[in-house]
Amino acid sequence: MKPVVTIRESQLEALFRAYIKVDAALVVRGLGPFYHNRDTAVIPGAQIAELFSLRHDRDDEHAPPLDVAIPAMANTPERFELFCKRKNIRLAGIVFSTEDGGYLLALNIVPEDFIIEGQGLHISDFSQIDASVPALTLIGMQRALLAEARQAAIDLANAQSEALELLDRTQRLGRYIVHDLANYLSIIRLNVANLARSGGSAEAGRAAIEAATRHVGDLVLSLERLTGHRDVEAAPLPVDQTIRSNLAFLAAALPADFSLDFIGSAAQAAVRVGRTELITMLTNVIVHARGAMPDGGSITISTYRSDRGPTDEADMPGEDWIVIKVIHDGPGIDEEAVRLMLDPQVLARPDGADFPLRSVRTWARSIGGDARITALPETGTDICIYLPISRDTDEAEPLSAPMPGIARQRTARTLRVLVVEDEVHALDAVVEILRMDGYSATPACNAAEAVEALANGDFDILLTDVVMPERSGVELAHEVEARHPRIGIILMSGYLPDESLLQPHWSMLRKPLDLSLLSHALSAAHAKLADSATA
Amino acid sequence: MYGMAHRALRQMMLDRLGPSVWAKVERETGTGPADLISLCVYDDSKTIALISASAAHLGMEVDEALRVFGRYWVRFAELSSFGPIMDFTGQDLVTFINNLDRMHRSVVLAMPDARVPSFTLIDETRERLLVRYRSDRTGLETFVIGLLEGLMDRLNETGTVELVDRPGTAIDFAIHLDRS
Repeated sequence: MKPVVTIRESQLEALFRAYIKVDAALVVRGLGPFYHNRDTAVIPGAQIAELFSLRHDRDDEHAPPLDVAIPAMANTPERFELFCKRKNIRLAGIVFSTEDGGYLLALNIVPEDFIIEGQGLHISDFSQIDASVPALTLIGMQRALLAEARQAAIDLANAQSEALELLDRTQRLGRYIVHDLANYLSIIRLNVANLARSGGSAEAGRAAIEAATRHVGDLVLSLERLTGHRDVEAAPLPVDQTIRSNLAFLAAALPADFSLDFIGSAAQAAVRVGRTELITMLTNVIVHARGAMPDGGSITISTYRSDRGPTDEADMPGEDWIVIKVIHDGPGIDEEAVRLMLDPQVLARPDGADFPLRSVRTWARSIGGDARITALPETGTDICIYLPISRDTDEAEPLSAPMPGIARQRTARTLRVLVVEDEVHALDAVVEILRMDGYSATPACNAAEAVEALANGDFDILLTDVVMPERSGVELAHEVEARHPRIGIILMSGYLPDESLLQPHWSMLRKPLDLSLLSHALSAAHAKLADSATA
Repeated sequence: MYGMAHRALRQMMLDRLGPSVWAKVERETGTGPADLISLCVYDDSKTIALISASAAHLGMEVDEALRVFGRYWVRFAELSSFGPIMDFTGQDLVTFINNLDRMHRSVVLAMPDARVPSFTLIDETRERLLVRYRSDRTGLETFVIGLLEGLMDRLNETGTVELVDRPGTAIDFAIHLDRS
């Protein structure tokens, strides 16, 4: 019979990992890699009949012996199956006769079942084209995924249980804090009463109040940590160094057809944010850019210091900002897309996804900065994130800190501020501070009082708390702006309200109030009024 | 990435710094149990945020944390439900690397959203293996170094791994084995 093809040893190994060559006496003369390091006793010189029997020998006593079956099946298309006597191994293939009068048993391993565990099989035991590999792996994957799903269900159930326990603990802790706060409050009241009496010791009273307020401050910090409300431990973070050391990591958010470059010119300028917050924010910007560049391209992050803020109105002599600028050369977004992206009334994109850049702006505003997005149709998008540079390293806090004043811009007339705050002592304090700094400040304890005050007088600025009984500061701001469109709105709250309820031109201050940020917001509002008066 | 990566990172942080630090990482990144489901696919930015936050708590640069995580990942996978599949892939370094792409092809069949890398053993001597790595993700070089170190741990080898070349979009890593 003329051979159809000639096959090399290496090809034989690749196609039939468990092949066996035997001579005319059925003695093993060669074997495939499957038998290496496997205790099958299949070695050159061994008698094939001592190692294997026909597969159906187990069930059929009349199966022919191998010295009959092999010559009979040689060069036929019949499937030939062998069962290893020493190991639980099944082999299958076909038999060829060879020119030297022997036989080639072209065999591959047949998994006993399609479960990986316990069979001692490896991918290399199978030929490259053997469908057993994906079958075994897929079933293995399915079993693993089921185990993972089971574990996830258990984890979620445990998480729910832990959450309930945490809620219980938080409630208990809350009661302790209420108890402590009540104690400190009574100390403050007592000493205020003593101070009011002429016979009391002013120094002792002042010290007691100071101590009590310090403890209350600690309790507030505890509460903030407990609620995860803000990262109270954030230290000033050098922006350039942080971006540079995370650049490779940021690039990991991009496919291979993107390039990411960084040009840092802000030197040692630092901002008071968590490293995670900053990197998460940049990741959001990059993810947005990636979405806007279907064909890939280049993204460049650059930084620089600026004495100009995010809006013209916010420019403050002496103020210092770090600007993180992200530009990309994709097709860009149009002005309408930018408008939709920043419109708080639009909850999400038509495809249901959130706007990553809106969350960037929300984040920037929460720490006293802002973000500006400029559409450059067909040439890209320009995103500038303004963050106030931390000057903490220059400003050591005195042990007995005097109340910082508000650096107010002097203008032709006094700015009239309507202050709305339901906590009467906080209201008094803010009004007093504003008056000391030359503003005309009018107090209102709630939204109704504020509306009444507005009916009886003119104001330039509405400075209002957000969380108030009956009507919130946000509702009040909407109402006031509808009636008095020229009034500037500044909100203040311990919590960030829902961004979708806010107007983009409103200012948002977090409590406890940072007087420098209050100064900044008032000056910005003042500058805006001055500009509109000039126009 | 699949949630399994998040679970592995959580376990590494629990092992190294305990539950309170991991709770901080979760809080800082807005992560909860719903972000830790092995079979769910999450945006890479989530994974990046988690690793970045973890690196800060570990006192490491992100690249170093990635390397540590890569090494840990191998250990985590072999102890997880995927352990038998790793056993199936190979019991020595050369076999394992040679079979990785075959194993990954099956992974993609079972998990269609998986973006698996490719590893090719392009040169082999007794003391040095040259591995070509290709991926549509970038910036994970140190993670790959950690993975190869983890594989050496698993397969009872010692040595070092270094990035030696970047031919085109691929990256070549040399594994120097202590086999003297």
